[in-house]
Amino acid sequence: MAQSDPALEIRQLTKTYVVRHVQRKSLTTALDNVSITIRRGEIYALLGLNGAGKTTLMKIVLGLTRATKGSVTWSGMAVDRIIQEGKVGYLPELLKAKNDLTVKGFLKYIGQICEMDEKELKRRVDYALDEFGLQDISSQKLNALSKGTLKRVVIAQALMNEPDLLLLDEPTDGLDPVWQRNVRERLISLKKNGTTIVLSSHLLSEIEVIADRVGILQKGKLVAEGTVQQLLPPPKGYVVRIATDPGVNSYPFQRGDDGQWWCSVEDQIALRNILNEINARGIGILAVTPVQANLEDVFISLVNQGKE
Amino acid sequence: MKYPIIKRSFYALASEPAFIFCIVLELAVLLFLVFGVEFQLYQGEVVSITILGSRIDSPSLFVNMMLPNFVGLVITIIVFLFILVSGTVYPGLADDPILNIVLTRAVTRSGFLLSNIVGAGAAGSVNVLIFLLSMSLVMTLKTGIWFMTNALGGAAALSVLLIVILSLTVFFGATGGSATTSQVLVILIHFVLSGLIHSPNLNKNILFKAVSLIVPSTDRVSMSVQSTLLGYPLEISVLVQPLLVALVCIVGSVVIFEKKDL
Repeated sequence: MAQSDPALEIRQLTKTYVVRHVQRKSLTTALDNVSITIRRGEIYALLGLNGAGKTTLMKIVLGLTRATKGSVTWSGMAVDRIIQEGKVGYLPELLKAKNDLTVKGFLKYIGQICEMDEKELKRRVDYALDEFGLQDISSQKLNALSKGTLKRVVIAQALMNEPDLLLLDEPTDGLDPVWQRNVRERLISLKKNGTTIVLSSHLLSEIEVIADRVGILQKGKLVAEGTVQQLLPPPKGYVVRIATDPGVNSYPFQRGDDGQWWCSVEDQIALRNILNEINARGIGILAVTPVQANLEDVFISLVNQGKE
Repeated sequence: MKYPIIKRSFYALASEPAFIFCIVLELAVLLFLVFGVEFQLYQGEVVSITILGSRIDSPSLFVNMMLPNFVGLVITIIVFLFILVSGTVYPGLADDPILNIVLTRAVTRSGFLLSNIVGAGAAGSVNVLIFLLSMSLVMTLKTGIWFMTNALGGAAALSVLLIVILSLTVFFGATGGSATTSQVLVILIHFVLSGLIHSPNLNKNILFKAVSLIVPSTDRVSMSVQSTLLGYPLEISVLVQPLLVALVCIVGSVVIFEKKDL
């Protein structure tokens, strides 16, 4: 299958829950007619406030939660098939663990369930322990680990079977900056090898760096979808930097601490005018930088629109 | 079914406090038999028994009264403790933080649940098998009378009883009951309802007759275990109705677990 082929297809997914109150029941819609197509080797990020439906969507894809309506397919076939083939990795938001498994025991247990033979199992467990810096704590019980270390263990298990489809719920939450970067780099390398990755995160700067496409969920609805660039609005203006005093008063150039002169303009017409004038005076232009909203601005704006 | 899940379930049940307490009690019983009971033999026949230094010259009193009561008490305690332990099986697996991870691997929900039931059932069965065989070995060595066949038959019947109990607690857990609810319901079924519903007097009533089809006759299995251990042949027919109820409970639990949102 080519990298551009649709791999994971989510069609009109709806999930409603019956919520029991003290004296009555009510129906809550966790997902409302969500359709997403994710290509092979793509990193797709799900954004949304807590309770927007990100985890429910992932759980339905994994067959952990049953959809009220809609379908999920992998390469045109029911997603159960790839799960039964052991080609899926999942990182839940695991906050605690039982006391019966050690770090190594847990990885071995997951490998054994995936029916790896002894030799392969040992190789992959050792590799996972090395890759995620877990060798020294391999005999520690899972419930004795800190949040960040437990997260590394759970990421290690998610990657251990070299999955074709990887679903990660808050993969870097709780990790220190060094491991956040390591995990990001690992995800990018997996993507290059053709792994399809669906992740949710509240770290929007991280998503800007690694996600090919982003879907924003709000109250169970997919309210925006596209590449980060597609989601960003046009620049709010431009900043022009020059090396020397322009000696003109038509534009309010200011001298910065670095000795450069800079000026901000609101639109492309003003930008063209100022560049013409500077060029006419033979002044070298150091940089023209658009004043760009970031993903966080887009996200907050969409959330506020939803509230209205 | 997956062996690693069976193994984990086996050890999870075996490390429950009530299970460990059961093993301690069984060890105490074995030590009592080894050091506290002496059999005096004459021409291969037991003529008197000394229990903790007190000599009983009437072996029939021991065989007809003390031994059945003792065996009955031991079985009751084992069953009671197993009800407490098995009540935690379903809540334990449903609340396991790594359940979501395991079920996204190459394992079906039904396979996962059945593996857990097999693991827990195996823990109970292995325990009673070891205990009853050890007890019979001690008796055989002390009296020269062959008790091992009785022990095997008794262990098989007791294993069936434990599996029935396990299937009931798992079913009550799957239908939404907590560990405590499941334990209380199974205690009621085994110690009260089973004997009551299957009593010959009440069986004439059509309502009780109908209910008797769904309430497993665990009390009869319990009595069958006792009689088998005392040398009577194992009554296979007694095991059929409870095993059918257990099968229905297991299938029901699987169906409910398959549909459960995790």
